[in-house]
Amino acid sequence: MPDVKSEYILNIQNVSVVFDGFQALTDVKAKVRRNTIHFFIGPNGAGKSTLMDIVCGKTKPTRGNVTFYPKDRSPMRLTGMKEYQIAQSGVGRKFQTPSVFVNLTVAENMMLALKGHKSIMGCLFYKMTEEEEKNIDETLRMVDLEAFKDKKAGSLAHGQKQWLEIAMQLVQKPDLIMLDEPAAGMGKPETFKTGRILKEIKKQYSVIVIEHDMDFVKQCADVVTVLHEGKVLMEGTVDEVLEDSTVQAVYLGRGGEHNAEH
Amino acid sequence: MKPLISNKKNLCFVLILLALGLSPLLLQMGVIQSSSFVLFLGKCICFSIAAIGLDLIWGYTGILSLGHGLYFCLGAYCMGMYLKLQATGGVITDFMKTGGLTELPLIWKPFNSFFLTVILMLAVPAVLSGILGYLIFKNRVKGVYFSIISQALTWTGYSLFIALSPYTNGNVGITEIQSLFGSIRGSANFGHFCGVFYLALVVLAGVYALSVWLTNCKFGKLLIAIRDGENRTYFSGYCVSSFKTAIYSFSAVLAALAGALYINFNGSITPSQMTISYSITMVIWVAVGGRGTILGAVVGAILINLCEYNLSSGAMVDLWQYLIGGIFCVMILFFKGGIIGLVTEQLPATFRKLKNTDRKPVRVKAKKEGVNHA
Ligand SMILES: Nc1ncnc2c1ncn2[C@@H]1O[C@H](COP(=O)(O)OP(=O)(O)O)[C@@H](O)[C@H]1O
Ligand SMILES: [Mg+2]
Repeated sequence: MPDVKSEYILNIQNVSVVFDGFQALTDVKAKVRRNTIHFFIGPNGAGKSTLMDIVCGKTKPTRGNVTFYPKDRSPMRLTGMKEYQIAQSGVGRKFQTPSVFVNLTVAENMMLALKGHKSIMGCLFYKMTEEEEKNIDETLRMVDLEAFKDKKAGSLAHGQKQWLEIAMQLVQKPDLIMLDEPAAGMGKPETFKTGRILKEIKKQYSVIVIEHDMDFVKQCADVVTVLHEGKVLMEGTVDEVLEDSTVQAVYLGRGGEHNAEH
Repeated sequence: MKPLISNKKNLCFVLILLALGLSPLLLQMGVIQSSSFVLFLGKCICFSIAAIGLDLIWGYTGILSLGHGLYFCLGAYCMGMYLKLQATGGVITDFMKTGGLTELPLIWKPFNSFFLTVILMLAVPAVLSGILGYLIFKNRVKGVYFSIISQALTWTGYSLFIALSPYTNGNVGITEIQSLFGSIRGSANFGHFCGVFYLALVVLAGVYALSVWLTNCKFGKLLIAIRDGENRTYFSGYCVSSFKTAIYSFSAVLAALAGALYINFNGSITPSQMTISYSITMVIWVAVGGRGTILGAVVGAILINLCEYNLSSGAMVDLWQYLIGGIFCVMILFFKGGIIGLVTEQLPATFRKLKNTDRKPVRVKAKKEGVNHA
């Protein structure tokens, strides 16, 4: 057990989810190694987003549980915790559709994402420290949004919203970051830039990414898990996965079709 | 730019405050003829306080409460019970005798003390809304469902107050009372009237300042965040339900405060202020003034009531209800930001557009600006 703690950040144990009789996930097992970038790929409806929902507390698993091993702290069983407790414990998540606070400025969005001061009293008497301000500036620089600091988040372009949401996860310095289709709806240059941002993130964090774009996967992934119809099809390096004939049959062969949907 | 705008709003509020503050003096000097108009302005001060509370929960947090009349009445009844006991000298009232009671009921007893009255007047709505809010928001009840529940709550209050007529005097409500400072009718009591009027004005100023502070600190940003994306707020590590409960409770206290002041001007309180239609009227004030700005709530409450004051007598009395309904629909459909939004955003935007069609070369730059304001 202590071995596991040092090596892995997240352990998904035999998770199954049933929505009104529909089996969305079946006995999913996966371990995410610390300081790696772990991709979950698979056709639409494979259950990738649902898996993230389980980890961050949005959906309760019908069976199984998820254990989180934060740095320098004792392991926690995420299953059964409230989503805000999970977020406070150091799991950040970006949603598939960009969800930023459109009527607040970019800087205010970042301020709300910062670690700490999450209670009512903490919010009433909060004053930003210089260190936090520097943290926000640096993070915004990383995603190229520094110039938009005082703009309403609602006025940003689609891609910029995605980057802002990523930045909001980074600024709270979580132990684990989950990104659900960070390049969805982006053009090639934007996707490439997102890839660059990801590589930067990878240096400091453990990251889980869901993505459709195979170039993107090749550009960044350390480990890839393929989901298909709610089950783990296989897990391995990018090359191993790409070479696998079953994977090609269920997913890659139809890749174009799925990309077209976005 | 931003602080400038909010300063302008604050300036505007100070002007309103000055105008209101001058009105009793103008009455004294004979510039304003009608004393009932100044009395009415006093009520407007109270409505503004209730509107600010409603704006905090609806305009900022996006929770539409259609039952704030309940809290308005709770505050008013608490104050009314104190004033009634002042009038009767602390003994059992006529309506209690008619209802079969032989001595002052236990729940009336604390209202012999002004100090306890003030405490209860704030604590009762705070605790009630706190408990209700906790249960409702913890179960993630949102949107229309919350609005319906809030209506049911105020309706329950209405029915209870009518049913408990030995204690509340049913339909008739609490009448034959004077203000905190004594009778305010007639020119001989002008001093008393000023006492009540300026007390209300000071409370409004305090509530405004507190609310502006609240909405400018991180707490206020979080309220907007909840309105924009409740899920994102949960996943940013905030226990949204406790924030919602807190702001719901605070706005209930403001409504109660408004009610407690209102009864001093009105001289009576009846359960009719607990009806759903009265609660919806409060929402209309905020919608017309401009939700999401504290000033908007004040402007809306005063303007709508001014219109009602001028139009609801004589020939317009039947039309008024339709008119206000119409105004509400137009505002919701076309002017989401209400009057404040119209003045600070929509008019300048139209103005810029007009200017652009005049001078074509600046068009590109203006287009960019337009996008940023969208
Ligand atoms: N809350 C829900 N209720 C019912 N069905 C759901 C729910 N969330 C997801 N599903 C279903 O579960 C399946 C997996 O969805 P999802 O995890 O979003 O797939 P993807 O791999 O494309 O992210 C889909 O068929 C979807 O319709
Ligand atoms: Mg998905």
